[in-house]
Amino acid sequence: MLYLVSEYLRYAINFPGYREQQVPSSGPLERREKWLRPLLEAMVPAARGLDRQALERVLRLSDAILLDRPAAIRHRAILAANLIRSLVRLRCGPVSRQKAGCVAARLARLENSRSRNIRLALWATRTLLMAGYYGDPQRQKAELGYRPQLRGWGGCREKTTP
Amino acid sequence: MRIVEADIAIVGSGAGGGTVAARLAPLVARGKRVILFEQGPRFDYRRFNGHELEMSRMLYREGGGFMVADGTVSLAFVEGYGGSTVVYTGTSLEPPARIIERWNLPGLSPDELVRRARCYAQDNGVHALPAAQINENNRLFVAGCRELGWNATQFAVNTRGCLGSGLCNLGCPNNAKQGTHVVQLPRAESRGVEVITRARVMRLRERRLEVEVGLNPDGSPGEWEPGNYEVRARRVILAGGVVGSTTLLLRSGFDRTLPAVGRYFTCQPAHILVAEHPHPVQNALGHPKSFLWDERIESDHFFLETCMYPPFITAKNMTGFGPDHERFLRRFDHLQMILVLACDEALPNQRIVLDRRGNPQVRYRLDSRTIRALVGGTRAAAKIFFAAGALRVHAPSARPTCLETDARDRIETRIRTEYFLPGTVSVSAAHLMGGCRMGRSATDSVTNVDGQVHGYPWLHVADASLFPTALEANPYLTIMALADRVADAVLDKEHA
Ligand SMILES: Cc1cc2nc3c(=O)[nH]c(=O)nc-3n(C[C@H](O)[C@H](O)[C@H](O)COP(=O)(O)OP(=O)(O)OC[C@H]3O[C@@H](n4cnc5c(N)ncnc54)[C@H](O)[C@@H]3O)c2cc1C
Ligand code: SF4
Repeated sequence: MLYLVSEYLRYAINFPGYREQQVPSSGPLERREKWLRPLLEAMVPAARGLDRQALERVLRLSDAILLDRPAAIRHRAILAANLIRSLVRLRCGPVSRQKAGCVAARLARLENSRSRNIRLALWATRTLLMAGYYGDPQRQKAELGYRPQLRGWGGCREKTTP
Repeated sequence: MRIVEADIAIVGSGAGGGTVAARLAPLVARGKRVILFEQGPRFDYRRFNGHELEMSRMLYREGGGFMVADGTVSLAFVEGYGGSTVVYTGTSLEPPARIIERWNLPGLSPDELVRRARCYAQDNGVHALPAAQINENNRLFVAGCRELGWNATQFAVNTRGCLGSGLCNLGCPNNAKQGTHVVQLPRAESRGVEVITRARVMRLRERRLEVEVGLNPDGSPGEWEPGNYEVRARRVILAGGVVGSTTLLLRSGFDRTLPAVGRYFTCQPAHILVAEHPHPVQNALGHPKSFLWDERIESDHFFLETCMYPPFITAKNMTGFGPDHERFLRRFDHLQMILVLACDEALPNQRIVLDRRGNPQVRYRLDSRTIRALVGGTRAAAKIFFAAGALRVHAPSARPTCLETDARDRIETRIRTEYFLPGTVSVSAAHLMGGCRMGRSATDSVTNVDGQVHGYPWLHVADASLFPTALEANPYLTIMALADRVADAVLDKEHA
């Protein structure tokens, strides 16, 4: 079993024989929403409050990042997310029955996995999801209190100059 | 295939290429044709809106997500008019004498490099920011160091009319940062150097370049019609940056005679560290960088600098996820930030190769010395954070990664090398060096001390790939100083 998993990982992370045309689609948004939501919520607990539309926005922003990457990288990112999804499912059951605590615990274990490839797959998935969540200018402003100040001190000198 | 004749062709327009272009510009008045090819587009600073995803996609190679082959380090560099100087922070450090001396290259003295670097410092508006422009993040760093009895040093930055928007790494929206796109390249163009953007040099033959010219990102044509060109040049100067110049030499088969091509790659891997204070910390405003602490650089191979990154880059570069991770992000306006930079060793097997499609692949592994340096740097940064009054500190190589104040006396035991898991711990690098290193012979180097490729008198290198080892400092002024030397050598030959 361990051997099979490690072989799959080798394939997933370092898939050697890709061709541009073979890059898999990461599937329609609605389908992905289902299984990405528990992962996102475990990584960014505040995402529990997201309605469908907001979740869709997160995923679209993550997708946009992937679009720029070479086909091989897109391929690996998608395989990585699928791998994490499968490993979570193996422990926590199908999405409809997954408990938040189980998913979080599973991901925490994967993060410290002895296999570097599993750790990398998790890192890649987390990074993509966080791009969609924390990279959103609207959320940055509304929830994190961050807004790029193009004119810097000039924009609000009285309040902020030391 | 269209054929173009030139006297000198320069590849790349970053710190190295921009410098060489400006220095060689007077040749145009003497009837020489000098053409610079840049694979990226020209950026309009008025389009720099500070939104991190959008700007990263616009500016950085692979949106800033270019990873080394084993996936453990992301490398940041830019493809465009001005190269990585468009996004650098502008930390302006002189060439460190102890490293130049260690290189032990005949004719290359620290004094000479420093003298050249100072000329560029003057040219590019390098100055120390006055106290009134130092933001709170920088002040906390100084206060933390002082509390510990450590000596934080202020360094200069290269701005003219900086408004303190803190967005240097996403393109300066005020055109205040003095990169080659603002200073050297416009000067070179005004003196007749032709800069052709969207022009990727694909291969190099004896005094010939194969160039592919494309359209601008908005579909408009650039300086030349899109298509394939053969450029015949008497002299070629590679300044495509570490990845660009090395890839070009490898793709053109130079590694057959020069086995060191691509080897001795270093990148000064870095951690972005954050800590939460009980009060808001002004970091999003003001120039991000002004102070460093490097008292343990020789013994422990790391140095620390102040820094500022927007939310996603911060989230990505922190380690882990879940409630602890989120709590730091939710207190974004209370965060102090420190960058830990490791001085990695130049080793022959840390190298750039080509994959089966001829694209660059960086085979780089975080070795134990580098990991120790990052962990040592994290410990030092944690001490500074707590000494400056932080409530909690994020430490990638601690378990759990969040240290509360009760951990301040147990930092050495909480932050440990064993907890540094490559692949889980986020590491990024922006100081790429080596791959076409200078040296004495073709067995272990690619160029001589003047940047001339061993055995190819018509071919020169003038960028960060020349570094024989990591510089152990922010490199752009040293790159300009080296490129200036290369330009001198070329001018000597042209005059002769
Ligand atoms: C985010 C960030 C912050 C930084 N901050 C600092 C700092 O504060 N201080 C400091 O000293 N340094 C800093 N640096 C590092 C510094 O910017 C680089 O070391 C320096 O710009 C490298 O110069 P270069 O000429 O070697 O390459 P680059 O500046 O990267 O330029 C290379 C250019 O060549 C072009 N090119 C490559 N191959 C080809 C080809 N085949 N055909 C045509 N064109 C090609 C590329 O598109 C690119 O534009 C920073 C870097 C980054 C990314
Ligand atoms: S801090 Fe200054 S140099 Fe940096 S982006 Fe803002 S205005 Fe430009």
